[in-house]
Amino acid sequence: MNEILSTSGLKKSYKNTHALKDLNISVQKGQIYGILGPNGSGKTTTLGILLGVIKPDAGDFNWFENGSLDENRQNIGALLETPNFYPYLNAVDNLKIVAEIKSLKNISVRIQKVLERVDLWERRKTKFKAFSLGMKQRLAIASAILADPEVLVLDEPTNGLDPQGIAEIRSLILNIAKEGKTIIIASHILDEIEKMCTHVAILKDGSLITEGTLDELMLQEKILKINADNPQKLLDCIAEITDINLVRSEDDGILISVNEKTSAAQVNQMIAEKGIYLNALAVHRKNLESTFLEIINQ
Amino acid sequence: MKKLIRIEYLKLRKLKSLRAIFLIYAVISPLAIYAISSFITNFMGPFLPKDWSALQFPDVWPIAVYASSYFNVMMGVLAVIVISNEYNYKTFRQHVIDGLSIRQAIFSKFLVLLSFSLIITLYTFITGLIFGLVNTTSDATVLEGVESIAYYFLQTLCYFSFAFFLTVLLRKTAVSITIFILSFISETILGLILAYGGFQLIYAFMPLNAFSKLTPFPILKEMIAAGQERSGNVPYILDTPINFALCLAYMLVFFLIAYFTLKKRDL
Repeated sequence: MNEILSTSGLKKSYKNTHALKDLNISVQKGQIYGILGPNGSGKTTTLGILLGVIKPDAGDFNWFENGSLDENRQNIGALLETPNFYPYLNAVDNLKIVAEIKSLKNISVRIQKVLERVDLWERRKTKFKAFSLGMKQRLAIASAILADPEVLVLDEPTNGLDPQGIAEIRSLILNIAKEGKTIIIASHILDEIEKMCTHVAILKDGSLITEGTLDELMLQEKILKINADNPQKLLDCIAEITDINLVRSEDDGILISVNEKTSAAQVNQMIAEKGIYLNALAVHRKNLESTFLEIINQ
Repeated sequence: MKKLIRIEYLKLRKLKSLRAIFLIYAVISPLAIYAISSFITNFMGPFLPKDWSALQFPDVWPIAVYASSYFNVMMGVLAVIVISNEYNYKTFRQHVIDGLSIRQAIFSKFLVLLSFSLIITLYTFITGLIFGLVNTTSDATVLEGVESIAYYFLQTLCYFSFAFFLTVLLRKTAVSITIFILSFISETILGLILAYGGFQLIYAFMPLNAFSKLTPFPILKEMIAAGQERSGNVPYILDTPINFALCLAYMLVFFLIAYFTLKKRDL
């Protein structure tokens, strides 16, 4: 069994807003699958539907190849939006409730194991309301992995955390992924997705814009930084060449994008044929942020 | 069902507001029974039946349930807190994510309310029993008139169903508590207006009034008879079986609306 999740034509509207339009995605075993999009793009709605707390208007989804959600809840650990626990109970008592819901055996051993894993064992008697945001997120992850599920679904797991907290959560997620778990993460923090995910789906206004591995997304186009003695003439020249697209003009040069098969030498030649001679030409590393912004702005 | 009860117990055992409200109930309820029996005996002499003996069997039962019914509003507030907490903490949704079905999540709340009803009914029964055993000098048996306790049990469930219904519709604790309390006041005012216009029958069928009449004032019938002789304009009281059926119907309607609202709504 390789396909962990597939969706088919998922749709959801809230009054006049289309939160999700015909969403089709597929997640394979072992992937760290990032659902990326600006606020309001439909990330949380997607996860809410997949976790059974939001009812879709149309479409279908399958966990673990043809399995329903109810049949597979034991195999899915999830955190949706914020960590949701009883503030007047401590970490252990909150996890006991989750363990009862999941009908787990050896509850005390399991709770100790997961609290140690998220580095909260020393704070096990502390009430949830006294936890910092980072500790709350870690407790939510402890709760999600309590039943040792095959899949972890995390919605904005690093939201609101300081850099140290972000690094801790990232390290925790990557360690869990090393055990062969499939992880689905929704986030608008591009850097996090880039550092953690193997696959990405980009959503905009409820529609899937693109889906693929990080490399596939980032290698669709090549970004070059060029410059000439007369930058304005260079800009005019670029506008005339159909194979070269202007990304943006910066103080120390102009960013252009070309097809990944186009070499830097070919770019130099195309511009030289227009009578402009470059004094700088460098391949510019393309990150997920620039890819994301290009896709979103298309 | 055992699993759901265990889950609810884990949630509620350390909830301070629950402990506080149950403690207040436990302390004040017996005092209220004593105070009301003294008031009736000392100030309502002209209406009292010949064989009236306030804290003895069987008269202790209607007094016990009538006095305890004053605390149903407080217990209703507790029900609102317990249910709305699940919205405030978003735990209702999290439990469904963790593995409870929506039906189980709703049913677990019904079990909590049922447990509250059983606990306070049992407490009221024990309190009445102790008062009766200590004070009874006649040959009356413990079981005489004990059906009042069953009416009280239904009454607590009815108020809880109303609290459940309001909380599911309104979701916010403060708003739900305010509307819950205002409902009693507004229905009473409406009842007075209806009575003034001669529409006592309509008031008799209104839900909160019907609930309250499950445990009526212990000498209400005697007072109505006296009022009938004096002015003729007296409250309309439904026959006990009709009122019982009416309350049962209201309770089911409130629970079912809450159930289907929760089932239909996104969490």
